[in-house]
Amino acid sequence: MKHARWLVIAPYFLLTILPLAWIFLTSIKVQEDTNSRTVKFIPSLAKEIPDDSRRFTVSPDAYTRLEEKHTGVEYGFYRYLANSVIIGFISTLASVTLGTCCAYGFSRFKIPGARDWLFFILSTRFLPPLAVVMPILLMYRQFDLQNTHLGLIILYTSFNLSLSIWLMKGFIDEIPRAYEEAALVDGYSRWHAFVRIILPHARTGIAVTAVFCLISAWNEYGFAMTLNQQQAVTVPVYFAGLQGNISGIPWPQVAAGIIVFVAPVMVFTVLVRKHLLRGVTFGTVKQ
Amino acid sequence: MSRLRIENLQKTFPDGTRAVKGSNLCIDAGEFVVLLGPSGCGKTTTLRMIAGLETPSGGRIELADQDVTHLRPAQRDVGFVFQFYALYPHLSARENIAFPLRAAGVPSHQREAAVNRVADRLAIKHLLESRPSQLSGGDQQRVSLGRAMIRTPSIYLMDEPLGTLDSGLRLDMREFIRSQQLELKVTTIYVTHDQEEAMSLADRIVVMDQGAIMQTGSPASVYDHPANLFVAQFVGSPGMNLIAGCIQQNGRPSFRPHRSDACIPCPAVTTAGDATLGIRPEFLRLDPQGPLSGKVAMSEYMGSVTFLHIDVSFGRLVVRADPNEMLRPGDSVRVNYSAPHARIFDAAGDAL
Repeated sequence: MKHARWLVIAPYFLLTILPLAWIFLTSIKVQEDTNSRTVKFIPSLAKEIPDDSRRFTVSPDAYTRLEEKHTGVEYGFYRYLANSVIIGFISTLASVTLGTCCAYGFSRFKIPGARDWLFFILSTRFLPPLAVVMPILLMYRQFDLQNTHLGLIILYTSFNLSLSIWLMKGFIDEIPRAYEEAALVDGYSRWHAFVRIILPHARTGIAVTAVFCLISAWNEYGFAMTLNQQQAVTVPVYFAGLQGNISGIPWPQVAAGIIVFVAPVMVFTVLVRKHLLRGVTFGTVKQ
Repeated sequence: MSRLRIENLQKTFPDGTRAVKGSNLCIDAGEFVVLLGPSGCGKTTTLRMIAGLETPSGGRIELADQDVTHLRPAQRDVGFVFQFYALYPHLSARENIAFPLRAAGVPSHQREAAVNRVADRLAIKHLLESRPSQLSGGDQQRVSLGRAMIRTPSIYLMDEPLGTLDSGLRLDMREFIRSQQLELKVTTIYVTHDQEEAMSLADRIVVMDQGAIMQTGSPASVYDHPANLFVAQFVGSPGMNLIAGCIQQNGRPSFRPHRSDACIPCPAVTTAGDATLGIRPEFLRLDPQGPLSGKVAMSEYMGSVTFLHIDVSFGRLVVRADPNEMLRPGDSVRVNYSAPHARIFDAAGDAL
């Protein structure tokens, strides 16, 4: 049994790691090596390598040249990364803050029709988000939200809010009421009890919820592309824009950009993986 | 110190459960009152309403002559000790105890001094830096008592604080709570379902059942003069022997159990008809000349005393006997009883 599980884990691991590994290898190549006749996948420090070799010369060029402007796009990579960071982080902050407050309310107070509200909130996730792309495009045109950071922040916040409320409710439900009640009796207001007692206990939940919200805002492509042409273009849209480059797609730079783009999220996810597991099971796992 | 007055206090939960059905209670300053009753009798709900953690559906709560019915818990000046301690796991014992003082904005050097004083009193000084999870149940409850004591509130509310402790530790903590209360003279309301705990701690016991107060009185009066059948059975371990029958008045009143020809003397009462006679096991004794005959069904050896369960013609009686009495199930015995100690309850179950 112990060995049998590797039959599942190993192929799955390869399936997920190979594209990333390939992207990383591409990011340390020079342009010529990315579309040479022979497939080159063995990094080497040697300067002169015959054309038909499997080896290629390692080069940091792609990373140092990320700032370079390519034809067809207006700015260098970092400008778009900044857009992604601004939109991703602010929308995450907003959905986690609102979600935590809502979840606290649903968890602790008697709200008329609470079950129906919660179901309604969940139901906003039933449709694929892109199904509503046209109405949103029209609304955004009306309100001048196209091409703005705010537009995408509002959009991602509202999409992530349902997830945030449900996740946080699961976590807050697990915090015994007696902690707050003790604080209330000890002279604290409801708000202080929330800040002093609930928030420290909900830290794990907040971290997990934030990761999920950040990942979905970070990777979103459909809306980011539809609602933006210039100002608030995020990294995924920027990569897509390079596809039509006349002078050929600058693969090493694209790969380097992807590595820079996914690295922080990956590292963070690995760091909180233990809590993530609890998050995805909605607190049903008891230690 | 302050007194507590409860008038017609009611609580109906949204699902329709009537947890408390109009309680009236007056508690004097410095009194130790125990709310006693089986689970679901409304004792905890009553306590939580006094603390402000539960909103009453009706009635009035007065603390120190001030109407607090609609005040927030923080405005009531009560100290609450929870059954499961409710210590904040992310804070050390010291921070837990100091927590109420932080709410009041007491400067840190005064907080330190206060924590040390309380810790001395509770003998937990060496535990102050530990997290709750590193402490035993008894120590956690001491810390939780410390948190309630640090403010000298006008009233302590304790919700089964010893309910989760081992029995040995329970006795220690029981004595400890009583001695602290006697010394500090703070009005205390203590909730428990353990009648032994109630007897040993209380100045006054309030027996509750199904959301209503059954009887209020000193442990001795509740034990000796139960107001109704519920109290007679619930208080005391084992409870009172209850014999259903009827009272006959022919010159002197006598009691005839149902399904029996036996006629036993009973205390002077003026009524006749269906009634229940109650008698504590200690007022029944084995006596070869006794009027009641029966067979031993079971014997419970308790060390200082043995409880014999004896089947008589009209049911089963529990008799307190000398532990040296070597009786086996099936042995025939005769039982005598002390008529003046018998209690009579009318057909509705109330004491006469």
